Amino acid sequence: MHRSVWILAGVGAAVMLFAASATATTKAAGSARGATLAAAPFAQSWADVPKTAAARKAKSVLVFGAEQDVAGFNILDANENALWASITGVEPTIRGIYIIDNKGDYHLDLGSSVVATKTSLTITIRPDANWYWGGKKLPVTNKDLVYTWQQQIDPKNQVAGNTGYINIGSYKLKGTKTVTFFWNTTCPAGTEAAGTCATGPFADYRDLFSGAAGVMPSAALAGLDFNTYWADCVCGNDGKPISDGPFYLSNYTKGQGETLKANPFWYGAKPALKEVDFKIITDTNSEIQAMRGGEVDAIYPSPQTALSELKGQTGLVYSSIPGFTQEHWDINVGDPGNPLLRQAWMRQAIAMGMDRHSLIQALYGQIAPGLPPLNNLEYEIGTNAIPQFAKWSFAPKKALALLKAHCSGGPSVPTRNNTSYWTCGGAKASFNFYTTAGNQRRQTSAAIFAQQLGAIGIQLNVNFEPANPNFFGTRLPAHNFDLAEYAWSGGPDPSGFDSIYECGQGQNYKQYCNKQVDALIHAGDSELNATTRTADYEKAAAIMANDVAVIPLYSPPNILVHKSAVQGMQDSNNPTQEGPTWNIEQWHW
Amino acid sequence: MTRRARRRKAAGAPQTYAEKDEREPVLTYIARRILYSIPVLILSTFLVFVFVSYAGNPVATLRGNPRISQNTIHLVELQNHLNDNVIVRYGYWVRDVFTHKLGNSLITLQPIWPDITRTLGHTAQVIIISETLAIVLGVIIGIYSAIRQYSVFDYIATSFSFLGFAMPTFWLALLLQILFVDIYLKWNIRIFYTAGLNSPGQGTWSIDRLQHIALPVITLCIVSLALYSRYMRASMLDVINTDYVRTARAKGLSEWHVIMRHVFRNALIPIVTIAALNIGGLLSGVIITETVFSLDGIGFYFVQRLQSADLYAVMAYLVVTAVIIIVFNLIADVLYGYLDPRIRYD
Repeated sequence: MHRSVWILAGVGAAVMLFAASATATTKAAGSARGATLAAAPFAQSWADVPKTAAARKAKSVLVFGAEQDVAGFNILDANENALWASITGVEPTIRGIYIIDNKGDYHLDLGSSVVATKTSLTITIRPDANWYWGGKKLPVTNKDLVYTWQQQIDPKNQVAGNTGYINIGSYKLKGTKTVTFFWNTTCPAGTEAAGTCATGPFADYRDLFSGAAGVMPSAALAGLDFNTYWADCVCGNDGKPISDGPFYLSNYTKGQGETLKANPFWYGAKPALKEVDFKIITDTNSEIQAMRGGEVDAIYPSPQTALSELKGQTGLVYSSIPGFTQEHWDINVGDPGNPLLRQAWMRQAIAMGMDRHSLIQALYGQIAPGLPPLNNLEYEIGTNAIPQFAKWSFAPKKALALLKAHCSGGPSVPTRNNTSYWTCGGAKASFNFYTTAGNQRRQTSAAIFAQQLGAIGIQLNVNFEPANPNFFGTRLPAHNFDLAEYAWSGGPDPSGFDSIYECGQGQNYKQYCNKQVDALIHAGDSELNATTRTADYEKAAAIMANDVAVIPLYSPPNILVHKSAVQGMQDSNNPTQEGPTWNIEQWHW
Repeated sequence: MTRRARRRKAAGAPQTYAEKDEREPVLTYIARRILYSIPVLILSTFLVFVFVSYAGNPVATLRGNPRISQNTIHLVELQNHLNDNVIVRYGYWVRDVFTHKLGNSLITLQPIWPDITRTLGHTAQVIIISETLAIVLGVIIGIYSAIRQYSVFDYIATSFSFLGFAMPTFWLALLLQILFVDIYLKWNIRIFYTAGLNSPGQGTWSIDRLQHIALPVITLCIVSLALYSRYMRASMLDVINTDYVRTARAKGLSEWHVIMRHVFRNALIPIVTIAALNIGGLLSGVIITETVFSLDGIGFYFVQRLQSADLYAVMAYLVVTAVIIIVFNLIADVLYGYLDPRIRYD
């Protein structure tokens, strides 16, 4: 008995020692070369966080459930451009010239004035803007703006998006707070096609140095590599936290969470909370239980039916609003797509044969009642979201009338489980539909629409395939589909959709081409007058709706749940990439 | 080495043939098993690399964002060697395994090794506690069930064993979460937490940490407990009915002495090897538990990296778990031979 017990004990002790040492020595790796994170690990900070809501209220601490861990906090980097990195680490700490509120409206934040002309863009930083760098106070200067621009246009950097920044060719500093950027008038040969240079004014200048990206601290980041810094902190090259926002990131531990502490040098109203902790809870069901059980005070979950459990629960406030993501169908009007789709009447019939309301009700009826279909291809929400696509709302009889006028062999009335499909000019109204596999929403969508289109004599051959590399990697770029469902990430400003709708552009997978739309989009891209600009995009949206270039479906809702005892969060549900922490300084118990 | 052999050695006597056989085959066996494992490891990593390469593409996700420039996409392709064929890319990975400790993440460009050690430590903590509990309780239940065969306790234990085997892990995990949240809501008593790791500042083994990992431990423990209790019961019943146990009883030894000194000791041998095998198998089973409870463990790390098509991180997980499984399988085989002298190594 001794031998086997000792062997067991020895093995167990060895493995336990390994486990304990591995866990006990967990520390965040410093992202700055030669520097390690100076702040204490999340675990030690978390030990001081009161465990009950009442105790947290007494200490002005709030715990927010984070649904995803971050790949890094440099959201200018394409690989780290994630919503939760913005929400938890960047939005509260790195401010931009403008901030976008929950209605999609722009307000000056870090900037005190911005003047855009056809030749230049002049930005003045507010005089009371300072960096908090490990306890030191440093002014935010025009050199930070220049640094941010230089990082965006550096071809070695894997930037998430340099649109607009590549329009800037040179700059001139004035004092320490003002800089004038000059638009390019010409570009070296080949650079425009390569996407590294553009000419003329960039009309969406409010999104430059703004939104979730912000202005980077040039002095603190000196000597660091754009592609590797801020992997696990928002800090300077000495590892100490840096911020010009209401909070600074005092520590972050992968897989566990992060802690924000109030920034004493913040130029805005002093934050009512002393500390905000983000606890990573990646499973939605766990989030729900944590919210019910009081382990967290607020969550910002991805929309799932299980969230209905929280609606109406005493002590909780539940908010759902449409977001900026465009879930839609692409209709391929070029080769090798079905030639029938090049006929406007066929596209119109398909659109009118789809009941988008019923789909939205099936997907989100319990968690976002009243969510409307998407009816504008340029503006998803807000006052500019004129419902141009509403004319193609569900009308199966009208769809049948269109089909009857051009085809034969189909049903005379919409018929459930119909098996008679139209033949139009010798071609069968049968289309190959593709979407991503493993997505429950799209499976439901495909099932519902296949049944509805079948009822009016249009056959849908549904195919699911992996997003990577099949769907996004090969099928869409090769235009090898008739109809495809996926989503675009939108925003309050429609610039950036050029490559989706303009003739021959890289992400115009459906091969839609209308020269008038191109001209209007180009005009909007360079029009500095906001009213004229909006009018240009609206006209383009109206033409695209008329052409049924795509079939917009819906924008998935953004949901925010918080304890009713927490005040200042009534406007926090912000569907832009600013996220719910855009007004974090207003939160209080 | 037996006590007699040690006395002979201390006295300077030459080794007998039996004593020599006792030592050399074990070492040769271990060396041979390790050598056999190397080509298996190479082949499995190559196959997995090929499959994962074709299953994911870091660039494809970027293409879904119209604001990402073509230049950035091109840079990512260059960095990840996506334009090379899969064999060349495998070669790059092998090079990075040896020169950069499993390499850097293709997504964040950060070293993978710190993530592996961190998450493996968290997973090991959960697995060790659950396995220890499962073995101790399983052995006790198995012994008592065997001694009191066909009693009420035996039938109850058998029923719960079957329930434990049949219960889906994720279902049990969700049920436990809801149960303890409802207890909190009703009586305002926080027994266990439902999500997260949250090690407290005082150290890894504090009450708060145990409160957080209690539910995952219970979830993993229940299935293993069912396994060990059934094996222990069967093993005990095999040994109880042997001649030498009958002889021991006939000699007048007390029942306690017979059970604990003769029966239990020999019945424990299969349990030791099963436990060694089970620990390796738990590494794959823990993925679901860690996902439901949002634990920062290696299983959850693997799922996150796979979803991001972070090829190097996925390969790192597979290499580490393959090595662990190979090691524990080897431990199981060696232990079995060591504990049961009738077993000879081939």
